[in-house]
Amino acid sequence: MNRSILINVLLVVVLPIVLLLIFPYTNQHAGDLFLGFFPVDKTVSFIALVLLISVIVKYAYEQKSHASEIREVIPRKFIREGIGRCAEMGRPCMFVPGTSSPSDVATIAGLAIGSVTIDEAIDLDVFIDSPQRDYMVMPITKSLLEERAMLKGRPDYPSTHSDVFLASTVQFTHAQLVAGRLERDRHGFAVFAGMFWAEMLIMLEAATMNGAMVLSGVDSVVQMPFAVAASDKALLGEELYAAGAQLSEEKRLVNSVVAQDLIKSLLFTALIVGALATTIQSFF
Amino acid sequence: MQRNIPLFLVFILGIIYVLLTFIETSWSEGAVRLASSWAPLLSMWAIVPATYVTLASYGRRLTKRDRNPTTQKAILAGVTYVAFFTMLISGLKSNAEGSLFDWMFRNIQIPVTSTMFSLLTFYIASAAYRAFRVSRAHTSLLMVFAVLVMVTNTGMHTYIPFGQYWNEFSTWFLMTGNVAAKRAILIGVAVGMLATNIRIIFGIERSWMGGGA
Repeated sequence: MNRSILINVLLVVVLPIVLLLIFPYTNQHAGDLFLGFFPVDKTVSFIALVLLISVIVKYAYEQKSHASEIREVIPRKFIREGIGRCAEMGRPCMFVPGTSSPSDVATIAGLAIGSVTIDEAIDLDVFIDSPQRDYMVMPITKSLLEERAMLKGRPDYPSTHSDVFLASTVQFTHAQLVAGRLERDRHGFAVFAGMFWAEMLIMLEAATMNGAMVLSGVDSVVQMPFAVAASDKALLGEELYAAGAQLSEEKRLVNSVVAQDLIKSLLFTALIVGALATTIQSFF
Repeated sequence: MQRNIPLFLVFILGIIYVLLTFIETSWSEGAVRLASSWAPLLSMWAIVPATYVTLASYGRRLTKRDRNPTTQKAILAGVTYVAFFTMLISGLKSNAEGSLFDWMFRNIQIPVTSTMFSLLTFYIASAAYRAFRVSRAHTSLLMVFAVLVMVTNTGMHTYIPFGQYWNEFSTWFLMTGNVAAKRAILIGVAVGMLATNIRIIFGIERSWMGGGA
């Protein structure tokens, strides 16, 4: 904790001085090129990115585990309970990794949560039902399932215990199909994690009304109230990005989440310093 | 080896793409345009296996070889097959205005989608009822503010005492309190997205391709 405060203070004080020394007229020369190719107005973004990369990579490859330094976003026990429920009731598990393309980072974060769900499902022989909306995400989900099954020594699992397919590329047609499947097959556990729009509530409500235990993860501010209202556990905003890493229980991933928190505290400090500086400047 | 090649490609291409964002020359802009133009090509290839897998999935339901076979599911799969091939054949023949494909799109696809969208209202009501029914401190607070915003947004505040103050408070709450919370969430999301991207580029996060760290 002391180290992170020290790093924050150093960066907040040192960074502006370094910027001022390297690019003394950044604001006046916005849009100019440095060395003929580097846009001067992107200096702050570039330095922030290098800083971000350095902190994450440094923490990720540290020998020490920082797992105890962060709060538990979602206990793995929750997913285990959901899958256990499916196994006891003889019902399938629904997994939808958002309705966007792989270029949305939320989709990848959703797949990371799906990876843990699939692991638990393989352990308890639970059927995975995964209607997809994007035809680029569908093969990724399929190969994720095959990889996990291979690692668990169950190469037969994808063909006997899963149905990953393209439902529809149309927003509400996809939601309609998911709601229909939830109604007919009465899933025991439903995981909706990734990028969603208005169709999210239809799927969440259909799952809840049919007695499924629901885990949702969404980073869209507009969809957050619906996720809270219609699911048993909702991962909101950055929690979606941290959950997959934390659930995996891998040291490097957990450490990188700690680095993420450190960067956020740095941003918070910079915001307060900036607000104070602006307020003081207004008096002169 | 099978896993290392994609990881290596993601690292190299990820770093190049990041650097291209900070380089402003004609060739860098051309490279970004070229890379972007490859994306639709990949999508076109991905649609072939996606269609095959989907038809195979419905085929299992149609022939009752799925997990929990029922006649209802078989009929639904049959309808899907008929709809798919009718749209495909009519679309290949002509997709001009007034064609069978166009007619089906306008008179079946759009009304069905619109119906689903309109159902959203009832889902919102149902979810809101459940959220407010749970009597916890934060849900009670949520309900108080929801009622306040609803009353002022519908113009009902003009009929109640001190309605003007209600309206002013509601506007302040939406424009200040709400925006502040939204921005806090958005900052967190932005950092989370960046961190996830970095984890993927540097091969720290591998769960998306089936492997652990």
